[in-house]
Amino acid sequence: MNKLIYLDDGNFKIKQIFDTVSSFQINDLNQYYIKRDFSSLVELKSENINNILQYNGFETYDRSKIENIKQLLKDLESEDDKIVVIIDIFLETDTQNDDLGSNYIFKKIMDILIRTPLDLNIIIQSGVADYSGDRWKNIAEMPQGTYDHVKSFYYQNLTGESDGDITEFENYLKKIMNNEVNI
Amino acid sequence: MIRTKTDWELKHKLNMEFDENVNISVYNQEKEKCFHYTSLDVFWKIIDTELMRATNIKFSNDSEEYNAGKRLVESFKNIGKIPDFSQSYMICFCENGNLLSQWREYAKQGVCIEFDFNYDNNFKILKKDSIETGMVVYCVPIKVLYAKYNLQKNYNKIDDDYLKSIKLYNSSFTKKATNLSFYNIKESINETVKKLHSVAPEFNKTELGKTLIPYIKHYDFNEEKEKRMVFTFENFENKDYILFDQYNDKKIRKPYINVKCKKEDDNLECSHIYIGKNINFELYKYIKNCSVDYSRKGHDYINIVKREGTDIYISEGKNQKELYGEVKQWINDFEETINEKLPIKVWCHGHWPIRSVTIAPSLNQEIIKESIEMYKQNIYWLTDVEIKTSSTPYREKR
Repeated sequence: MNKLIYLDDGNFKIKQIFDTVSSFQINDLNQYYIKRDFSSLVELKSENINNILQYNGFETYDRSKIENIKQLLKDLESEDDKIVVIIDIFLETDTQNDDLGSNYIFKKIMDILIRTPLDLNIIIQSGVADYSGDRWKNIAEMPQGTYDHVKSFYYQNLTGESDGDITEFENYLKKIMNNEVNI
Repeated sequence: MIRTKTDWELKHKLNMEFDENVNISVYNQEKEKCFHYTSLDVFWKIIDTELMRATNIKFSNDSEEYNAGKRLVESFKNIGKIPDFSQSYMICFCENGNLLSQWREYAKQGVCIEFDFNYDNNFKILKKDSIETGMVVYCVPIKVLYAKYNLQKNYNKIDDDYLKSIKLYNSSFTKKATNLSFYNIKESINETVKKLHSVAPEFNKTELGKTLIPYIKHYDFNEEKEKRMVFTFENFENKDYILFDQYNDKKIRKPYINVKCKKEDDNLECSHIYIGKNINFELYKYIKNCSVDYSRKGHDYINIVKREGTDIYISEGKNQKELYGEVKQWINDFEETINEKLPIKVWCHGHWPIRSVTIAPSLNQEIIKESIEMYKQNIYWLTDVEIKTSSTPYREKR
């Protein structure tokens, strides 16, 4: 069973991007949508999403809730599953201060993700051009070097504008599913 | 030289049909259990310098084999001119780690070094004036093709009937195909050229023939069970790499090249730890966690990747020695928590993948073993190499 974990906030941007990649179907898929409010998710269900599992670890992306993601990862511990985590680099938080809010959350989540024994692939979505490329390493205060299973891409189209390159995301997802990214 | 895995595999893709619709490869790879018999002097040089010599095939013990192989290949129709001199350099291995004839021929009072090339197939051919810089190439050991020919009788008349009478042998053929002949190779080359030449011009008979020649040897040597790593220069690229052995014989100077088993430059940091799939899962988790803490201390990120088996491998890098010490410590810490010693070996890429050293039968066998045991403790990447003595009894000449 393939597993897709969305770490998204109230605008469902990642989910919409995934739905936009219409040419690409992933069979045998469980999707875990982690966000603070699930109420509007139902409206977004599309034909190529047939199994969304809501995970109630985050009522809010609050600093005190970060550890909850560990439980989800532990629940998924299995030898053969292909797990892709798609994370918004700039998650909405209750605080406006990036260093205490969004950046802090992203930093903590990334640290958890790279320590898990699961064979994860991580895709980081950025809607801000300044945060694209390798900048995520600095924001998450991660060691430099090459990360085989982490890919960031820049894409922004929620307000009708289109910016960035969605094919980068699509191609990477295809590579993961076709086992072209080494685990 | 063949630089990439893809190019190497393309050049070594010849199949012979030995039964209806059943194919067998001409080139049988066997990456593990590659045994190299050598003198004690050469052994010390290999571990001190990390260099191995690949000798020009025409100047090896099997120089006549090159001429014979060339003559047989030249008998194929429409094949171009194959040069009298060879641009191929080889390192020889044996499939068997305790073979009396090999002790006698190559390693009297010497050693047999066991290599495992499953994960180490990139080599650096060093420039002749350097101990570091060179060209990185891909290579895999291939089993020699033992051919039962008699060219003294048939030198001038090699037709298809004669090629059919030259049976081929090696340990991969015996069970599956006992009736393969040199004619099958000829057919295989014809078929491959027919299929691929239009899309890839390098698939021509001359090139495929030149690739084949270094792997041909007379059947009478088949008990040697030889495998070869062959490095072949393209025209005009060799002049910066070839050295000459000035010591062996004052009249003839043997051309050779120095080969290192590494691909990266020394200024890069380690980027990967490969962990055997069969390793204790709690230890796997512990190493992954420790590696993040380690890289957070000013090092590059270390990707943890699963691999077959129970061993651990550390990628090349300038901090490899330090990381090796850390990994050993992590294993040690974990063993203490579970109060059990685990049979895990840690290997380092970028060095010859030596897995064991067997000491030849001799009166000094035990003291040689002790000496190597003590010496290897000073060289971190050799720490887990097993040192053994040959079980063959020593016999003095009377």
